[in-house]
Amino acid sequence: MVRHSGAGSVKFPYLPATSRIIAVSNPKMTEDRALVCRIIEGDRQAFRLLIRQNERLVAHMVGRLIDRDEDREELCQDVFLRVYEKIGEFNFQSKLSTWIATIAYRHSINHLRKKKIELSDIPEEESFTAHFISEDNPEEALADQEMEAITLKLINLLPAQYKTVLTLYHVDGMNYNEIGEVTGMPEGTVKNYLFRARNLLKEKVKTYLGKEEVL
Amino acid sequence: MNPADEELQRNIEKGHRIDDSLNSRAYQKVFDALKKEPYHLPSHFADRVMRRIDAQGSLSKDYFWFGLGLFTLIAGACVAALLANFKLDFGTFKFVSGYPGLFLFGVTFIALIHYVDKRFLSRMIHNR
Repeated sequence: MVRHSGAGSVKFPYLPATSRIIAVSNPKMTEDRALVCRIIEGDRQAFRLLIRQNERLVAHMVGRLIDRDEDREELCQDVFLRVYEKIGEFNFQSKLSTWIATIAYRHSINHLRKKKIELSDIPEEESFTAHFISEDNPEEALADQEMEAITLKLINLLPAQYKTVLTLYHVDGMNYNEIGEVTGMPEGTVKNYLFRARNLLKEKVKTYLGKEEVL
Repeated sequence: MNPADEELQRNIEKGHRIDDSLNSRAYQKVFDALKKEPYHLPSHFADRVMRRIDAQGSLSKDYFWFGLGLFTLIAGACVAALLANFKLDFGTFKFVSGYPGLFLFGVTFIALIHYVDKRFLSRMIHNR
């Protein structure tokens, strides 16, 4: 049971000393703690607030990995139900948003596995690059769509791991370390995937831009 | 990975000025597209989640009472059968006594249908 000792101060008797030091020095962590404590005490408005604060993060993760629109919202709901069930186990070793993103990532990957959607390993660099770049005819695509729409489609063609890293970095503004926590990848791998994915996309976009110039 | 590409990516990320080469323009397009949000949730999303949490709570209460009722019924039936020295040796019971697994299968099957029905109905109702 968490006790409030006065206005603005919250005690966390069940936490290790290092976590308490982090909480005091980081206002965001302190906010997270207060919010989690309120949820554990049964404050429904606090959980509603948690949803509002993190729904975009979850939507980005699920939306990027899951193609079917019908599945997306239900999956996002499932993520928050899981958060509600497990909130008592959150140990404040990371930011609350990072923990929620981890749940969203695992949930999305499990969904892809259940639907038997192949989660391919990251392919060999040269063969995958060649395959990715020469997939369709740029002239036809350019006639119908804007460059940005094409690029977004290209992002969806990437392996799930690439898409996850790109989304967390560019849309949600996470750093390499936080992305590593969410995905379980070493920081070096995160960095490598990020550079490689952007490079692959650039090579493909170049073929479209090249056609544009010729036309 | 090509060091020039790495450098170019870093420069675009930092917002530095880049040249007008095909490579640079392609990277700029990629970086611009990557900032776009892939999906937006409806405005009443939080309400829907809260409704599902409520539904789960009432569902677990329902299961508690259902389980308690079923247990009481079976226990009562066993006690009554013992007191009355009841034996399954007439009519249909004579047939059933030859297949002890049939009764168990029937009970399990009905419970399974009930569970599936509740689960799907509840989800459909609360997603409306």
